[in-house]
Amino acid sequence: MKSIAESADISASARPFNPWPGTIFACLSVLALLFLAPTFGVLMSSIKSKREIAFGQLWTMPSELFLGNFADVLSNPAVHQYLLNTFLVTAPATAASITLGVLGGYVFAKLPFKGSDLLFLALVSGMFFPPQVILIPLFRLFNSMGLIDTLWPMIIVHTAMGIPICTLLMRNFFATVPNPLRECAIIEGANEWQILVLVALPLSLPALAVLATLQFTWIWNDFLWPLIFTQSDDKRTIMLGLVFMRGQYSVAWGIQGAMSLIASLPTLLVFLFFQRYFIKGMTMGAVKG
Amino acid sequence: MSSLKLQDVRKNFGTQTVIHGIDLDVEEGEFIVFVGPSGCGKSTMLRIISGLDQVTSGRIFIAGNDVTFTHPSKRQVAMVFQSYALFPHMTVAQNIGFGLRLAKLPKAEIAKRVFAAAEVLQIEDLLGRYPRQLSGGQRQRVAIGRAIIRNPRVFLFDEPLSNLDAALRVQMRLEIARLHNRLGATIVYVTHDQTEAMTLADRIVVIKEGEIAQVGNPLEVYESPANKFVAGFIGAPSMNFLKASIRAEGGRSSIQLYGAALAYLPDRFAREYIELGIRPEHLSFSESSDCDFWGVVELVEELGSESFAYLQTEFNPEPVTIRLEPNKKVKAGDKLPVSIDRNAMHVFSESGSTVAIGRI
Amino acid sequence: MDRSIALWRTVFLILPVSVFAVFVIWPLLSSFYYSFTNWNGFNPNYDFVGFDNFAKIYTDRLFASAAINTVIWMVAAIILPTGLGLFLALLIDSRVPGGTLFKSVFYLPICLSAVVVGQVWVWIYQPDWGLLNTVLTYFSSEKINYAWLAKPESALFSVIVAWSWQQTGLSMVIYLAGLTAIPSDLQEVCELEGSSWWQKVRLVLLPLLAPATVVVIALSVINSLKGFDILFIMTEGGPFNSSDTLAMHMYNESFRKYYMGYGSAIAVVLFLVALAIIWLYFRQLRKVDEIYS
Repeated sequence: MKSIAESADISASARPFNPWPGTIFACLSVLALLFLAPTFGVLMSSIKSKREIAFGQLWTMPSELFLGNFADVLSNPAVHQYLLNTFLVTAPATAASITLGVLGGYVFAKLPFKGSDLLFLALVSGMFFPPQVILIPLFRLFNSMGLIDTLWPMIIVHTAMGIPICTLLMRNFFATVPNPLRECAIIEGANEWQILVLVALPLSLPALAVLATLQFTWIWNDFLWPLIFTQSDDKRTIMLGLVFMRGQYSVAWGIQGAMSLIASLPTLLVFLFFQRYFIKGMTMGAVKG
Repeated sequence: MSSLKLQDVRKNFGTQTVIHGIDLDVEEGEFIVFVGPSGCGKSTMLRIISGLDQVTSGRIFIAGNDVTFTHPSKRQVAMVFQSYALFPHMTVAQNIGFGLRLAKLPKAEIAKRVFAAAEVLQIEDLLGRYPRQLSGGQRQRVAIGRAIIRNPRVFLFDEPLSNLDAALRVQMRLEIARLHNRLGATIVYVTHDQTEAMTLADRIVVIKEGEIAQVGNPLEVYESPANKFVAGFIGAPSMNFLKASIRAEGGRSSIQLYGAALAYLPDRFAREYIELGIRPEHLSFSESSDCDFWGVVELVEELGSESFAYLQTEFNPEPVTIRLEPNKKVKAGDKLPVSIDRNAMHVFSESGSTVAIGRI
Repeated sequence: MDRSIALWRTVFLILPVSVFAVFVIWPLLSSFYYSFTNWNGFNPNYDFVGFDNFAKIYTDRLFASAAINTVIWMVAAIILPTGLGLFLALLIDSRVPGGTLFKSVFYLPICLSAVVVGQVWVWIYQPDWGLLNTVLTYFSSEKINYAWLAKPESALFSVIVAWSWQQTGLSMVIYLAGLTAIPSDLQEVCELEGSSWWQKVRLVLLPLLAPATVVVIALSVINSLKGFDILFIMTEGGPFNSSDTLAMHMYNESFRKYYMGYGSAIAVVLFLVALAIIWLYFRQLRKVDEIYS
């Protein structure tokens, strides 16, 4: 009997050469580099000194690591305010939209009624409309409530605009929770609220993670609503601040790069750690829509 | 010339070896059934023969040609999948003619051959339908149609009946047997169902943990199992296994079952303990108390054509299954004397290999 | 029992439905209302002007060019992110080493904000030291300093490319999910029957990916209707309104010129277009579902 290693050798030599995996890998690598180039450029610019950039070296590797840009941005009190504002909008709006989505999703999945499909469709289709469609009336509404130039309109609108996707994903997820579990809980004397909180929700942690990553990213990155609803500098969110500070640092590319990175850092971290949920949410929302 | 030949075929997935060196020669026109419990590697064997998986080492020959590294489509094999693997967006005709379309045959030629294949399977009326409009049995036929139109040297069937309900399964089994008679094709068929294996096969290959446990025609495998695994796997209900001991008496040994000498072995036997294998039909209730052991009826299963009883005994933790003779009525709780047919005892060593069969 | 369930339904639904009604549905309906007025955004008084705003749409040249640009954007959205996403998904699905890493790389831009993406691409298109011109100069005999975003001929398309860069990853993951959903034995049949890669893609994968394609195209088109943020950052619709879209035009009319009545009329048109697309989408989805379920 020949040894395994020996026989494996023989097989390898007889196996016909398949050029495809290599070709595909090369092809993907080139495309990946092209795709990364823009992001990479910003990263590089942020760690270069003004002098280096002024010599037209924006897209090359930096000659030395220069952290002055980050120091500049991070010591700017306006940036602190922007980040704080963004957080104060993102956290409550994410939590609120998911809560409302959980409530609605549970009814549509487990307590359907006559016409519930239609109501569900109406809620979900809100996902597809350009926000411009409701811009003016909302502006008027918040204006009359005296809430313009506060953080409230953004929290409220993000909550409301998050209801479609949250309801959709939660309904689809709750639908996979077996009915016998609910029926068993009913026999044990649980009411619907207890079933939701004690049975359905603990099983739905993955769905909640999906929604939290999605909503956090979208709200953090939003630009339109703060543009409409804020006026003074100390109410701006980071994305809006980014645009306004661009004027302030018009040719300081390194500082702009550092600012962009700092503004994107929370979403990049979320992406890095919760990528699986993120992608799942995107495809779930899309495919089942 | 053998139609299919496997030479020391081995397969690893990562560090795990799933096929431990299989050798097999399949004759032209033979119906071979790979049978074994799930996870034994029988489906992997089929995928290796088809070329969907590659061997780690070893050789595969089809019609005398070494096809070990040949592309699946050039091996002259056709495969029928467990799920049928029909394209949902194609009609029955398009599904059957898929390979011919890939080969860019003229449309008229394709249509002609598709119709011929459909006639063999009596599905001419279904050619314009989509798979979703077909019943399970019809889908099965379409999948077979896609195989026979290729005119392969070897047909590969991967548990083709497991998605059908019981009645349909029996019917399709018959049809596959008929098809084999008509086409005279070489068939390698994988199943975990020993009844399917017994009824369809010219030769059964029993596989256990990536190794061949026994090869032989169905009766051989049933009557002379090579080891305890085969004995237990083939036949339903399963063979009874009873712990017994050996006692040396002078120049010979006797098999002792619960203190009574059952039979004598011709030679001195170098073991102390053995297992006796007895099929349910080789046990019977004695008319008198002159018996091999007593059993208390625990449960009676009446299947209509035959009946079985499960007996509690004092020496075996597992219940002993016995086939009742027609008209024999017993009820739970009866304590009855049981005799063993001395001509049909299988003796297994503790390691599970067969020591002697039949009259000892 | 039934009554208590009805009660719970009400309790659960009251918040989501009322929030959605007050802050989405009601404003949506109000948009129709304001589209018949000449409200300027500040003055509490305004007049009903009937269909004047909609008549203005007919004569508004900027609206016409914005509408054309929106259509161009939609068509490009169907071709660029969808096509590229499909291509990438097919490559990654072929069990290439490092597939997960590639997936992350192509998907990364999705989690960046439009503001950041816009800024990055402004740098790329920058005439003097932008990446694009730097690379082009490298392959050319003379120094190239074409102002991609400042030229009416190239502004819109340059923005669309940047936007596609961000959207491709989304199309890709949806296609990847679609490919995973295709039973592997169907792909194995192709191998057994001797299909070439291209035959497999054309005859089997593409037809089976039809549901994913419907979703991807619908999403791309819908997202193109929303095309605003990145445009605002990169060109603000300029130069000379050459990269205006309907969403951008609506913003300009309402919040720069304070023609809120007219802006509402544009919003209504936008809504109707979106509605038509959603209707088409659901219809196609149902049709496709019928075939594949």
